[in-house]
Amino acid sequence: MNTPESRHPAELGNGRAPLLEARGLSKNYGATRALDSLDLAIAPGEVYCLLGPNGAGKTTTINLFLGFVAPTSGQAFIAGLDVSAHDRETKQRIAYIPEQVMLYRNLSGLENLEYFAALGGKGALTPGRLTDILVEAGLERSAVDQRVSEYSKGMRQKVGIAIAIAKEADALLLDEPTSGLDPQASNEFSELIERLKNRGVAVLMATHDLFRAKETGTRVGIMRYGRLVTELGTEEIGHADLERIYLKHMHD
Amino acid sequence: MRLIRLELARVVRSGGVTVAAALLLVLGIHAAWQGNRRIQAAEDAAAAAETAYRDQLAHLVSLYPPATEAGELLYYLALPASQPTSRLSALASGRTEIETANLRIRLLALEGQLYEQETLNPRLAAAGHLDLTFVLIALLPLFVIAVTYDIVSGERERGTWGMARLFARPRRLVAAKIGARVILMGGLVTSLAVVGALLAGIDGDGRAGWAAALIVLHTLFWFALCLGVATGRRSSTGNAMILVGVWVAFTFLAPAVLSLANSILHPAPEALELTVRQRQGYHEAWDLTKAETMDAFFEDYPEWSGRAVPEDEFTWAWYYAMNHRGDRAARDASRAYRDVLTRRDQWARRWSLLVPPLAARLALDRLAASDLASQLAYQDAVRRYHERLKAHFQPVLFSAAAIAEVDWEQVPAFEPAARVGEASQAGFPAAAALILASICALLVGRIPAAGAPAGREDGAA
Repeated sequence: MNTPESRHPAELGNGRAPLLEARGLSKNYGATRALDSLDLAIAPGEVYCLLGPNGAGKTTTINLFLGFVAPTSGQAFIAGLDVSAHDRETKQRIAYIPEQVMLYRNLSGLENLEYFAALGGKGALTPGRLTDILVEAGLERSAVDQRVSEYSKGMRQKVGIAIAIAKEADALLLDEPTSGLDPQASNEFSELIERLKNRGVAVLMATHDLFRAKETGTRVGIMRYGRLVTELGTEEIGHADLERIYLKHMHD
Repeated sequence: MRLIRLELARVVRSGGVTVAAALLLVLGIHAAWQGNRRIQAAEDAAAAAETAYRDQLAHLVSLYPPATEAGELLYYLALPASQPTSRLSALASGRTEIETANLRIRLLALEGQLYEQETLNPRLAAAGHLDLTFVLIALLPLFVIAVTYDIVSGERERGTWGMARLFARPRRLVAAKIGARVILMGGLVTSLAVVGALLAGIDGDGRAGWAAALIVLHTLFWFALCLGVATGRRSSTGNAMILVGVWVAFTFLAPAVLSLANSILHPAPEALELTVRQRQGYHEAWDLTKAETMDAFFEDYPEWSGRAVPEDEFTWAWYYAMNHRGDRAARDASRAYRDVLTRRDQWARRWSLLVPPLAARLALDRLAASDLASQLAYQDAVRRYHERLKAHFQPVLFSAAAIAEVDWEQVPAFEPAARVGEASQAGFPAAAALILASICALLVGRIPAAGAPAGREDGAA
């Protein structure tokens, strides 16, 4: 088995220049080391799934790429730009879908998309085009004008994806996106990610769902105590292998 | 504009905002309507005073035989001295609710007459009328607070701030949010101002322009203050507590403290004391010789020196000179009283600049001629009128002319007081205070810039 120490992060990718890259990325919260010297590279068209127990450093990794927290040491790059030094430019190239996609409850799905599109300088998109994007993201056409307060979690996730599509983001950061979704909604979500991957979007997804990681991801990284302990190509392993390897690392 | 439209939709759809806006509109329109009714009542009272004067004069002339001395008729005759009501006072009633500008003046001693008015219920007077200024200066800020206190903290607490920050710089986001709320509030304030102006028939002159500018600046001041507080890193509850605290301080505490300090620093006797002095001065004259009373009178009116009155009989010239003695007795106290009220007015105006909403309210009262200075100017005009009446009737009194000899159509009419100060003098200091305070509030506030460490949110992994 290969480890991050033995192979360059980009080596497991598709050979293209990485869109998301971490170099020696670390984060301390007080005396706690939440992330320890992470090296990671995700190329366009790759879906990288971060696995690990709670507190392993998955969300911290995503927050560092988002620029929501500042690294203690190391750097996070988006399209070759250091997130710390190019906050605005890097934010323009990414989209983010948290476990709970937080939208404006008293606006409809279409209005939410319109709001974020306008905020991101995509005000020229017509309501018709935005509706198409929502439908493309899997939302029923009849639901686009409903208030988000009436949406299920899966519907909100689809609006989140639509926002990412409208933004034309190069990279997508997902934090436990399928948590709490029923199997059908999870499957639909995976199909959406697959479509984005095929468009060349680089995806970094933190998840507890080993099955979804194997199905959706092109690579998985297993984290524990803030360290990336192993990295695997999903084509190299089966579902049972992934579970076995994961559990082995959890019990080491 | 699309962003502002959507933000506006968010605000309007928020529970309570529509209800609060409707309530403010209803209160404001009710206040403007009440203000218009007060003006109408004042104008009716002024017209009634004029009619009453004409009726009384006709009645007295017909009642007395034509050979009766005019002095006797003048004892009863009350002449109207009505200050035309400023239309703006429908919106800013100021002191008009506690002090009259519609006196009926007799030729007797003046000082006591200046303070003669209907007895007010002090409890009702303390509460005051609901005028549009109160709605706009005291209540509207609560609505501004209600729609802005959580523009950033609320987003953080709901979890939408992080998402939104991926799309735009925080400054742009906050600008859109504030822009939508300013439009909402602008619509509300404009509606109230237009309805108020139409109801009260306010002319679009310089004073109305300054009043409108002050209302706009005052509303923007509260936006600046809310922005200054709401863009900090406190919770929504913390923001709300601070802003409501500031509102209470600016609306109730600071004005009360300044008023108390003003009273302590500038103690003034009650106006009743002046009346008592005047009455004492008058009654003391009963124990003096008529010559002594007349000598005092001649000191003030030397043009009548040497017109002796008989010691052993009643004359109206002596009687009115005796009344004049009463005013002389109260003169120094009256001047001191006026001076202290003027100092209070100036002191309040100066120190209110530290409390911009209070400065705005006082400036609106001055623009509406419903402030203390306008009331003092009215009293001065009444004093001048009383002197003109005396100058007009003294020849009649000294010649003991009969009623039939007097041309009652030539009796001088009251000349109203000129407006106190230029509109710009009234409005500019408060406007400057509001602008300066708004800038300070914005400087105090921190709008986290994208990329700046202040914009990051260190949370747990």
